[in-house]
Amino acid sequence: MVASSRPRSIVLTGGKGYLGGLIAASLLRDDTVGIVALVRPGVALAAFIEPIRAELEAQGGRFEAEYLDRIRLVELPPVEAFASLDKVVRESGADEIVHCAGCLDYFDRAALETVNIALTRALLEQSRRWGLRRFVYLSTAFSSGYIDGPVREVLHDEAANDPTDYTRTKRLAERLVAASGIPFLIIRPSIVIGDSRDGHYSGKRYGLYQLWSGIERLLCREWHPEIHALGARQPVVLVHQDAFQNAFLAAFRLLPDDSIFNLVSARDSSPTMRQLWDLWMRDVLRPRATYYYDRMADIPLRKLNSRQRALLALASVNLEIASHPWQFETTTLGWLRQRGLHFLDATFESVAVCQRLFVDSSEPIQAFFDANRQQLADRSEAFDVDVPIGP
Amino acid sequence: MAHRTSPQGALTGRRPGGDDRDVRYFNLLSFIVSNAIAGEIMAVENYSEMVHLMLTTDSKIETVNQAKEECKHILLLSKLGRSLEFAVERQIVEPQWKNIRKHFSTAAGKGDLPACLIIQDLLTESMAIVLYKTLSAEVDTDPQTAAVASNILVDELEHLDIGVRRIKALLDEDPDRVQDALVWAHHRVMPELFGMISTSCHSLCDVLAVDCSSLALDSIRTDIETLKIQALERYIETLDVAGFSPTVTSPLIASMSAYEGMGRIAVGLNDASGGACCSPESAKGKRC
Repeated sequence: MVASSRPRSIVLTGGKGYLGGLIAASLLRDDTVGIVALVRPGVALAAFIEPIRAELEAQGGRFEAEYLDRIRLVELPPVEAFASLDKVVRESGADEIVHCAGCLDYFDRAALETVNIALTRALLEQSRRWGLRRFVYLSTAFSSGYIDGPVREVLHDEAANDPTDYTRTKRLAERLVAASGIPFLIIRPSIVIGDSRDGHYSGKRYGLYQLWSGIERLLCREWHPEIHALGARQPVVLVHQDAFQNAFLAAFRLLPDDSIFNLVSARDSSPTMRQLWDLWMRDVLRPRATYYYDRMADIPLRKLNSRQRALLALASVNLEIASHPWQFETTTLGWLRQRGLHFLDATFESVAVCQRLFVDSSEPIQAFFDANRQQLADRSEAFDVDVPIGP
Repeated sequence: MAHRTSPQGALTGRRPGGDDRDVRYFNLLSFIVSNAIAGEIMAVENYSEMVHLMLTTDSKIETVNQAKEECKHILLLSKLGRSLEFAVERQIVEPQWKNIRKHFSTAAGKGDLPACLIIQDLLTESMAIVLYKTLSAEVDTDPQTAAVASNILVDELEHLDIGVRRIKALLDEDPDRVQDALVWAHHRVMPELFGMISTSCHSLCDVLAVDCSSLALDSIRTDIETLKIQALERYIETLDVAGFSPTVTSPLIASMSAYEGMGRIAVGLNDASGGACCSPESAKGKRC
């Protein structure tokens, strides 16, 4: 069954976050639905709408006055007091929930369990009580954990190895959603990066931006004649935020109940980690030589300059995720494209747009250029290292 | 212009006697030195509690001497405050020190000597070295502060060497136990130590009667970012020297990426609210 009846209003969690904010912006601009936004105590309406306003303006639009009438901010109570939300949800006429709130702190297991699993479970129970028609859950493309073969658009079995507790808890939450008895839509975006058209971005220092921020902080304080990098020739599966917004809306409107949607760019056109590093070497760092490794375990960390070592260690989890040969089923994306979805795959060129804006707007990088202009190498050689260097 | 002190002793005017350092510098010293004294007090307590865990008489004596040297540092730092006429607090105010002390006591209570050594000799001493190295640069501070910091730095480097020697010996005996202790100690202590690389506080400024917002590290020609990177580099170097494998330490270092709360950044946006990481002024029209 294709969901054809439009909700009057939806409950939104995580609307103050990056992806939740993008979803809120899309729903306000491109839909007529009202939004009951469940937010942490202390979040004021002005603080909630400001990133949405900035995003809409960056995309050439504006925050219309009528949007304010469609947003209702409600403080998220403790789980045991969720019943206090009954009145506001019933009054709003909300009949769906879009659950974007999540914990992304890879290393805080307790918070991951609390937010990704316990909160989702509580919201599912509440959604049943409210009689909601559908539960839309924002998961991650990597919820399968490390598996051999393609990542199907089905619920995943237990993985032998997870990149982090984040992927494990998202997988468990997906199962809770699917087992709840409420019709559902699970959306699994991969690593979201800036807008494909101009590169603007307002998310956290996650994914590619964690690496870029790390390069800015650690490698741009002095010129490095040699750089060692994890640069596997695996495609890095990214999705531009504008593509994410378009795909979310199409999925929200068109997908049948109980769908699972891998929201990822085409593997064939995706840039490799090696290409992304090359771009930094060519445009910014300009060392005399770069040594590339396929696996973190191959890098002779103890022999490296301490800042390069710190960068590789700090970004190791995301670099290893990016270096895995992910292959995603994209049947649903194809189906949505056939029905008019405009989805621009992330490519080397489109990611370069994001990187260029990042570099151009970085004061530390501009200072690095000023301080090291004489040393930056005109020609940089790249070497593939198959085994650790030295004894 | 004559300087004057608030009732609690914090400076509110410019120094006499040709010292062109302004009040911001001495307020910053007041804040940093008071925090350093708190760390030294904690170190005295930690070393004292660790004595009975040491296995030989020689190592017990060595540990008592370490505690004694930390006492000496408290006296030196207090004297520096009196000499330069800035207020110092001689008790632990900031909760991070209390938390580290609590974790140490938990380890000591379990008889976990590796965890105790890692917390005090490696983690805390590494951070102390970064602090005293920063203060010992006379060109950035002043002759008296630099001299005191240099003296203390010598001791702290020696304490680190002692810790490295002890940890290496334990690693040779039982690497799994020591690596487990590192993981346990890292996740409890490093967030607290890195949380203190800041010019904001819980209540120390109130106690010192210092205006929190007036504290800026440019008074000693550095910044938070530089200190954090130096601390990270020193920590990695310490773990390497102690003999821990990168396969053990890399995930620990990766976890430190979360210490700053992974604030949002704004690249190419006119977000008047700024990211979580910066002020609206610095966010306007660019990245923060």
